Amino acid sequence: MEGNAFQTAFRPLLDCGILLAIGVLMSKRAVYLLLIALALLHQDFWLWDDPTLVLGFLPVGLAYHAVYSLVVAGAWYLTLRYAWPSDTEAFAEERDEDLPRP
Amino acid sequence: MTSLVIMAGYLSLLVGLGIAANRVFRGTAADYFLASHSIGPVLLMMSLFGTTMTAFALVGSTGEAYRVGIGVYGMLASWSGLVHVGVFFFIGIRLWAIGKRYGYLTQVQYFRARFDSDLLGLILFPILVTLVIPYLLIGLLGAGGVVQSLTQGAFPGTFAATNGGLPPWLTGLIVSCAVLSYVFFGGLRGAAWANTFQTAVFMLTGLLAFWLISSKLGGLAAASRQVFESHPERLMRADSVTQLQFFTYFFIPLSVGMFPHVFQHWLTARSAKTFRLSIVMHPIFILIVWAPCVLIGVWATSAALPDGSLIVPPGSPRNTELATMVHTLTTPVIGGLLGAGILAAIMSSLDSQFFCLGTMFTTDIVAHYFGEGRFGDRRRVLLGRSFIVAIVAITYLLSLTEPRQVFPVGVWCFTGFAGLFPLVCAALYWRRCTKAGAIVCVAATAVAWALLFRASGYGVDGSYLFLGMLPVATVLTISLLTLVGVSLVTATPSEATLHKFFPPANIAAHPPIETAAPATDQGERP
Repeated sequence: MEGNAFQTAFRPLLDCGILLAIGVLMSKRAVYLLLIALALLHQDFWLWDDPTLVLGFLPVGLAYHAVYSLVVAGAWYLTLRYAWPSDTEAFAEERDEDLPRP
Repeated sequence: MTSLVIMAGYLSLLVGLGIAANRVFRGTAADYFLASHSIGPVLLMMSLFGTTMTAFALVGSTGEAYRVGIGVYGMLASWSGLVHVGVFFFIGIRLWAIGKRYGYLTQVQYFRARFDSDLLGLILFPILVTLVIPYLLIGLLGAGGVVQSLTQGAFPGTFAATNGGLPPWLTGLIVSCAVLSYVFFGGLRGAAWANTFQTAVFMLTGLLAFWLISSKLGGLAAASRQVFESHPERLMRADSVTQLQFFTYFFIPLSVGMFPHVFQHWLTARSAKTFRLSIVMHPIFILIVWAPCVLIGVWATSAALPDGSLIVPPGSPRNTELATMVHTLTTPVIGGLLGAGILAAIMSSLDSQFFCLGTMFTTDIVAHYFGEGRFGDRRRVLLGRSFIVAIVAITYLLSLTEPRQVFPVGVWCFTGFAGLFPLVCAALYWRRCTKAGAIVCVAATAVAWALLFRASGYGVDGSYLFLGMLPVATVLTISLLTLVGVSLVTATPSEATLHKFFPPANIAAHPPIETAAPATDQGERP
């Protein structure tokens, strides 16, 4: 695959990588925005009718979504780091013997 | 025959694992049904992954890639990496917290209490059971097709109708008995141990098969180049899936939020932090399993024998593409190992599903209607086991008459669960959501699902779309609109209920609850 074509195909995910880096520096809200951006980037319409093989064997549409899966894992790592639901965790651990059982 | 011996050895190993789990069984219902909330990060990660990846992931994805091309990865796998984990994070951890605090075992218990409604539980129970059964069928259908292909020629005289391969009815029976034995003896701990072992097996054997098949086809580049020359349409999505259809697959993985067996696995977690490993690794594991299967499916469209004939000719039996590639291109030992891997993927879902149905029957029907104190732990475990045996028998009998493909059956099953997703989401995050809204939502979802399922010829039309979209989009919209609409015009839940299920932001300021409304239909205040 030509270098320019490769950049065009994966540019949105590269942009998302930059967003990931920004997410590190920012907050819970930035992490949620990143997840929304990833949901939008799933629709790779620009690769719809492109049968090019990346690295000689991987169809570009599949390669994009493979990289996408890895970026998603990174995004979830950031979510754990910046948006961990500590209150919910504490709620579960709190002991109250008077609580009714179902 | 070699393949068969390896698969038989694998099944024996699993039964042994169930017996080993039985040795640490504490004899209590909480231990049998929830492993006493003792499951750590690795076991939870492997259990959740193994449970959500079934025949659908290995056999279904390969078969669908053979028919529609690489789009199948984006439609389900990469969406699942984002959506499944989103559900684990936003729904799973919260449900775990509530379940742990109030001692719930099942979804129905939670919804009954959250909406102060016995009726809701009564409606929800049969719907959840009905939706789990097709999911179980996916497993048995997948196992039957795969083992038949891998054992072809082993019994030429006995099973002539299946070219000497083990017939699906016999495979279904063997698989059902194997799963039943380790679930029966080991409870949820046995299932979690087996899931962990099986997930490792199917991931490793899948990679091994991928490597060997690509080698036999002349290497990765040669295998893909062959498809590029003869079936380039399989390397893109232009002719096989529309943009709208592709997008609406987003809704399918939401079904995880309402899977009863996943709910039960969430509750086994030792702590909230136990979820962390699953959350990061799940998308990576999906990539490791799905990408090779999709590539093998695409290669199968063009892979040929030395005489020029296709290895998987058009019109080959459904669900057999992966097994045929392995059987033809690798040795019987590898075939046996991969067969064991595929069975592992299938059984790692079957066990949890069988198990959760047993738990639901014991908790939501027997204990709820006949009284919590009426049955001791031993009798509850016995009842759970008996119901599991009954469900296994029913599913097995249904599998004998089920002629459809794995992929469409799976999509319909997920459609039903995804349609109920707004219910769990609203129950956890929307204080204004009411009992009436929840009941109407469940009923409307069931009716919409049934009508669309009928319109698709009961799943026979595998490419059925409604308004150009997957039916799940319509079912989910109806579910959401009825839930919101009815909730807004009906009475709000009682303060006690809201206080119980919606902890304040600062947990330290959360005062003890002195009273809570019982699970009756009188719990809402005007």
